[in-house]
Amino acid sequence: MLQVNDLHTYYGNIKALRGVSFHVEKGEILSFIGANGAGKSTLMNTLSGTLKPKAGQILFEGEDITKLSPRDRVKKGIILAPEGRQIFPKFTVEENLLMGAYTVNDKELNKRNYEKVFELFPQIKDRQKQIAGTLSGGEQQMLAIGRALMSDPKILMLDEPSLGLSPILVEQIFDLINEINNQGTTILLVEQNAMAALEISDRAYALETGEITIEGTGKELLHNDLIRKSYLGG
Amino acid sequence: MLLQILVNGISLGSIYALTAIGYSLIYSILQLINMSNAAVFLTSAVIFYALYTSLTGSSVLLTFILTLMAAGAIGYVIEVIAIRPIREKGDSNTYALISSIGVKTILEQICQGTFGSEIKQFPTLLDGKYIDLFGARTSAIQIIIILTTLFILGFMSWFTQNNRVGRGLRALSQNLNACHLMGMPVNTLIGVSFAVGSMLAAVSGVAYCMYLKSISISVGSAIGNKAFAATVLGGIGELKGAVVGGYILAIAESFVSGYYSMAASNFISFGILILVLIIRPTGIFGKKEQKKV
Repeated sequence: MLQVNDLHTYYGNIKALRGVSFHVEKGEILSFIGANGAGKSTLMNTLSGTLKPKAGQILFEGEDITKLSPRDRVKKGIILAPEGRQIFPKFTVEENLLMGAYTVNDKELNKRNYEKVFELFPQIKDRQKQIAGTLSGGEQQMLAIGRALMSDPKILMLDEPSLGLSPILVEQIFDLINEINNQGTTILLVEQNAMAALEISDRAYALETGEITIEGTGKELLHNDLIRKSYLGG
Repeated sequence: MLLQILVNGISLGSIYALTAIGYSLIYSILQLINMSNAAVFLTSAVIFYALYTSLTGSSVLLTFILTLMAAGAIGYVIEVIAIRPIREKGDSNTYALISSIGVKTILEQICQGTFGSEIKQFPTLLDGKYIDLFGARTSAIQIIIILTTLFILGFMSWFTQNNRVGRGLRALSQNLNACHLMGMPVNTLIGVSFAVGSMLAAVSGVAYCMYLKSISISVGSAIGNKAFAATVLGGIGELKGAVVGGYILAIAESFVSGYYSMAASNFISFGILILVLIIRPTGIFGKKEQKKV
């Protein structure tokens, strides 16, 4: 579905991605795990189109999208729920979701997605008119994911969805990611919380200083000695 | 006397407020002080004058609509030519500021070249008609300006709350990066914000010249500076701040020129500006940036 070939991206003067190649299969949950500064967010931003790669190629459903704008990528079905959530703090929950649907002109589809978001996240359903900046961290994360889902994506990219959340909320968010995947959306996940990510992943890659070092199924990586030592605390 | 001064202040405040919204709107999105705004104020009045005296003399309304359309187009083009290339290269906002000063100078020069530097009579509405408003002698044009401004403020409020594009502009001011990520047409929307700001400056410019019944090429910078002071007073980046700042400043000026002297009123408005910058640099409604991690 998504094929990435030899991607090189600079972040300022720092070479943050050093020839990353991978693919995403339709319907799977794929994770990238790695420490702070490994290049995970740079990868997400390159895939979403807000960072331009120096070299390399991104193919989506066989089509080269390397030079497309973020907007065109969203229209094709790739969207990122960014690190730190980046919701619109002064907007209500409802207005935030409307912004996620900016590329969708089909009113019926918007209505269906709107209802779907609240089925997934009943917690924010009662808060439709609440100012988003006043939501709790967990609710803001749900809103950020919900907002991305409003674009009716084929691939949902999630950058550190567990960041700053309590263990119970982390579990809840990952259950919901699994649920979104079961409903047919392909997931590309980037996480520092390797344990939580690997448990729900079909496949995973470890990213280290801009390069893929290990790849395998979620289970394989969970039991890989190197991974256990580096990311799972022994 | 008191009421008279208040009415004068409110009509002048309307003119400040409309131009101030343009400064504030663009600042809220790009953190850029768009200096070309004052020149659009002047250019629009000149366009109105030129259209009225050469083509559309029979209809003020038609002239006004054409002027608004021209102002909107000018605003959009300014963004595309002078601001966008700098934005997209990711250069510092200082460059964009200087570029907007360049645009201001060019527009003023064009106006001077085509219009000349003398004061000319400007068409107005219901000249010589006055209404007695609880003892305040109010000219018909003052009433028209105040009502038009109220209508525009109401429209702007609806536009930014309920319209898809207007809401998009508010989204841009909260998180530009998230707007890119959501697939919003960010460049087009920024162009629209310049068009909207320019159209408001056009209303303001035409209204001011109708109020004075005259036009000269110095009106732009005179009112532009006041409107900018109003923007800072209200809190730059906050649209309601621009409106409140505009009215406060104009009413204060009106009182000073009513009870003391006209010449002192300029002193007051820029005195207020400097005081605000020292005591409360964020203005009345402005807040310090707070970001939740």
